[in-house]
Amino acid sequence: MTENVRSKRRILIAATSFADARAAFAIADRLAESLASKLGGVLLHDTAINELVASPGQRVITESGEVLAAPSAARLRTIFESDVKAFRQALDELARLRSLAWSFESREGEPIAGFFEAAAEWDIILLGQRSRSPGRGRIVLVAPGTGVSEDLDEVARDLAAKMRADLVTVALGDAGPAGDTAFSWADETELLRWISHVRAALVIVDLAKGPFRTPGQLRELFEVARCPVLVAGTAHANQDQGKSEQ
Amino acid sequence: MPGIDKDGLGVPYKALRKKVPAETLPFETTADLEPFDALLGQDRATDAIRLACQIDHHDFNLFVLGDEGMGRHSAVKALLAEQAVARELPDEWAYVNNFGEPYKPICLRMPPGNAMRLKRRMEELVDDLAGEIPAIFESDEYQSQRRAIEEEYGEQHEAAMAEFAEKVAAENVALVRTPMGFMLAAIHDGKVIKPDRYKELSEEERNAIDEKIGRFQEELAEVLREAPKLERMSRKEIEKLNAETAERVVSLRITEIEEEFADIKPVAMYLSDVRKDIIANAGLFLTAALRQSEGPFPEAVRKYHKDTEFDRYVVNVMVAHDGGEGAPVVIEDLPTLSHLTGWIEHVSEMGALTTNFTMIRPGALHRANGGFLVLDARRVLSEPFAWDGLKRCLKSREIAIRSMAERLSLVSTVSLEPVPAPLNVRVILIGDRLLYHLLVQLDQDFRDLFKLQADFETDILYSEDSVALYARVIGSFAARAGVRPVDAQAVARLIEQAMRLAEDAKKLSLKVGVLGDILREADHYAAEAGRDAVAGSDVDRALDQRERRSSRVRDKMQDAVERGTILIDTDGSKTGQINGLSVVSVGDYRFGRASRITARVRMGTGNLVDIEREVELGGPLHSKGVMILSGFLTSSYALDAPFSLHASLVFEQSYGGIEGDSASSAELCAILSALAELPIDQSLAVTGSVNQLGELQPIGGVNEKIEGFFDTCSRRGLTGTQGVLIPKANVDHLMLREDVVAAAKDGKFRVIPFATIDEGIAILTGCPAGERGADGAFPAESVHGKVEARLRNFAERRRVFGRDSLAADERKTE
Repeated sequence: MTENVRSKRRILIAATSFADARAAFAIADRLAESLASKLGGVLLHDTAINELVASPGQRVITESGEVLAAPSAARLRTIFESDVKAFRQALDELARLRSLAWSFESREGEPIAGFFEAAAEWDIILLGQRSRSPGRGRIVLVAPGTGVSEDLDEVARDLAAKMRADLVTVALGDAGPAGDTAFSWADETELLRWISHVRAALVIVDLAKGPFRTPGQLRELFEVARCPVLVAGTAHANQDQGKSEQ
Repeated sequence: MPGIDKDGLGVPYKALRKKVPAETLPFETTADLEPFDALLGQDRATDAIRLACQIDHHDFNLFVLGDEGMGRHSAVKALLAEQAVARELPDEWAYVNNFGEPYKPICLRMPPGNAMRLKRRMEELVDDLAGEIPAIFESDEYQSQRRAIEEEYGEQHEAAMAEFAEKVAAENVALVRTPMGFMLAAIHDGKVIKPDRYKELSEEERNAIDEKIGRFQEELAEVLREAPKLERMSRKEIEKLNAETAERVVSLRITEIEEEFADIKPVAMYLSDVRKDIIANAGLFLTAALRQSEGPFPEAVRKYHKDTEFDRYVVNVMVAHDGGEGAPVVIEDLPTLSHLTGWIEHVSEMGALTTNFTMIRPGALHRANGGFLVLDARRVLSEPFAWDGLKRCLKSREIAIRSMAERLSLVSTVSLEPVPAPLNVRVILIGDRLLYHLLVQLDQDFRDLFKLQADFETDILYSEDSVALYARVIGSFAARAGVRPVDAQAVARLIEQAMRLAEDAKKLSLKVGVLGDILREADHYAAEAGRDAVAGSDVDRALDQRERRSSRVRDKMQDAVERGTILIDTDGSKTGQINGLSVVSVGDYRFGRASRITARVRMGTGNLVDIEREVELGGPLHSKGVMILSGFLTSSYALDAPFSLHASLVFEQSYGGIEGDSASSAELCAILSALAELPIDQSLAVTGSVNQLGELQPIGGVNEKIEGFFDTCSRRGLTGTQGVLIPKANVDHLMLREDVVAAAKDGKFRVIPFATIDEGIAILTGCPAGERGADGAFPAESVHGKVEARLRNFAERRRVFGRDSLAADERKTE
């Protein structure tokens, strides 16, 4: 019991749309069963997209492969506001179900940077990103060179069991794990390339221990993952970011 | 009345009631007798019932006809039970799901002892699979295979996306995620080119960017369009894996059942369908397993087959004969359409009525299939659509379940069309004769389907043998009804009552139901008296009490006669007035009463007016009797002169209608009295039907009629001259009450038989009727002589009247 109390985490669900957030909610629900002490939500409006849709002849390619005219900035704003309502409602329902406190905020700006700002008070960020691929994927745990912390390893295993997914541990360098469920890669590019080709259900990364530590690295990881990313150690990353900015 | 010795004409008192001497019966009580459970005197009907049981042809159904209280139901039941035991147990029936067409449930036929077993096996199968299927789908083996499939197809898409992302990155194009999908944007110096910057580019550069972006947009669209296809392929692979996985466990379990029922082809075919359906719907079992924590019982003891989602595998047993013996004999007391052909229940779900094959309920035809179905004809005919439904099933030889609401198009909701069960049943209808003859006359289907009739006798001839058998029947009835043994005196009294019920001293009524009622009441009195056996006095008391309970109306009428409200003379003599007798029925109780009949005559044109008929109080048989009188008169008197009589006849103080011709002899005597101007002895009453030749014909209810007049006379005091004239042919029917017999024995009352109207009018008037002499004329002082003289006088006066009238008319003309 004592251990369980100690291991409780504040979990922030972050996404740029409600569709992406939904993928994170499914995982957050499983985490909230035993791990969460508080739930938070942040929905970020990516302002760069506003500029992009203003480009002449810009098109958007939907998930079903249709090529449509890009929506206007006003239309994007309407969609965002609608997503805010849906996000709040889903968060409220989940928190009620698990008897947890919750908070929510909406932001504008660049996603990863915005999420980092919002994550100052949170232990874990769950970055929402919907997957377009069929079937269940694997859970990819990115292990630091020093090895995965016991807590994170436990979280990864617990999620794999609940989601009936294979757990794969990946790392950089020769010292990393090896075997059917563990792979090592020589450099970060190779690792990202591998992740890009894998059908992943969730990628887990600890920013405090690496190998991905900076928002830039996380942005790259997030882009190739094409699935939710569970980020631990954000407080450490924020400190680093603060130092570098100072 | 001078001239006629009425005492010498009376029926000897011993012939007024046939006695059964108790001492001649060879037992003390019926406990000494061998039981006799067969049908007494019903050989003809019994043979017909046996034939119906044994003959194979489907249309030799049986109609059992006879009067109420004949014991037809119990006799049919006993005979059928006897025949049914000798037959083999019929097949069993069950409705099961038609997986292809759920609205047409399949009817399974199987040898006896299999239906309930199949039902139990299916329940066990569901319970077992509800545990085994989830277990195999939880296994590492299955999960690994499934993940492999999912990863294979998932990574195909991921690889395509990754390659695309690498490709566009290599050409300085960014793949941007937006809430609505992907967008592609050109990159310059690692940053997306903004619209302002884009405008500053040369046309050539812009065109190059546009071409590149356009090309990649199409390419990305292609990649994304592949995703649903891959998903479909992945799903099919998983479905295939699921089916293979489920088949392993399903086949293992269902093969055991298939082996058990391999010899029953329809069941084997059904089990084959079940196997396919369970494999295709293994998800049902997984869902049930997910809910296992909802119930109070652990998985091992949970009865999954009771869950509604597993209704599709229920075996809805219509008929099972576990532990049965012989063919079924089903007696349906409430033969509605539903109760005969079965029905389909509905349940209300969200305000709509729904049903499925588990809600099919069997009818009497299902239960009786392969055996016998006994129905009361009148009840079947009075239930809406029941008769039609029964005939339809018998004609088509299958049981089609159609509700009345469906036939009337009253309800529009989800319904079923169960495959009809083949029908092989012998239907026995029990009804009265009128119903039988109406059906024969009016219903062709009835003639086609009910080719046999069992006509129950109403009585048997009295003989030593029949009395002995009758005593055993009484004994058996007493034993069955839990009544005390019946002593010889009581049996004798019951047999006498059987003769009375038969209205014939030479016959015994077979209406054992009535005698049974008397016996049970007598048993009650025997119990009150603390006797071990029912005594004759108990039977007498029961008869007296029955009479007393029923005779309120009779007593009221006798009171009215006694007080002079109803005018009946029982002494003296009157011209043109006679005491007729009639029988009044109040429910099942009948009693006789005297009625004053009067006749008035005058010159006329040959009219005999029946006042009852004129006011429509006389029935057709009564009118017929009166017209016969007219025929007698016109053919008997003054044949050479016009019939110049105007006569009127009436039942005085009769307000309820008269039917029957049993008073025609009395009416004729009244007219003859009026014509001859000879008074009739009022201490006598007359009953009997007369024909045109003046011959007396027997009538019904002779005992009640005599007793009715006796009661009237008795209340006023018997004078010794009173009595009743009855047709000679009715003497054999006399079974009078003991008090009447006692009065006759003492010479205070008499019953006088007469064969012709001449005998009767002579007794009533004291004047010989007279016969035509050699000259063709009746003696002047005879009844007929006086009647003829009067009629000739009427004719002569009519002729004179006619002549005078004509002369007067001529004078007027001149």
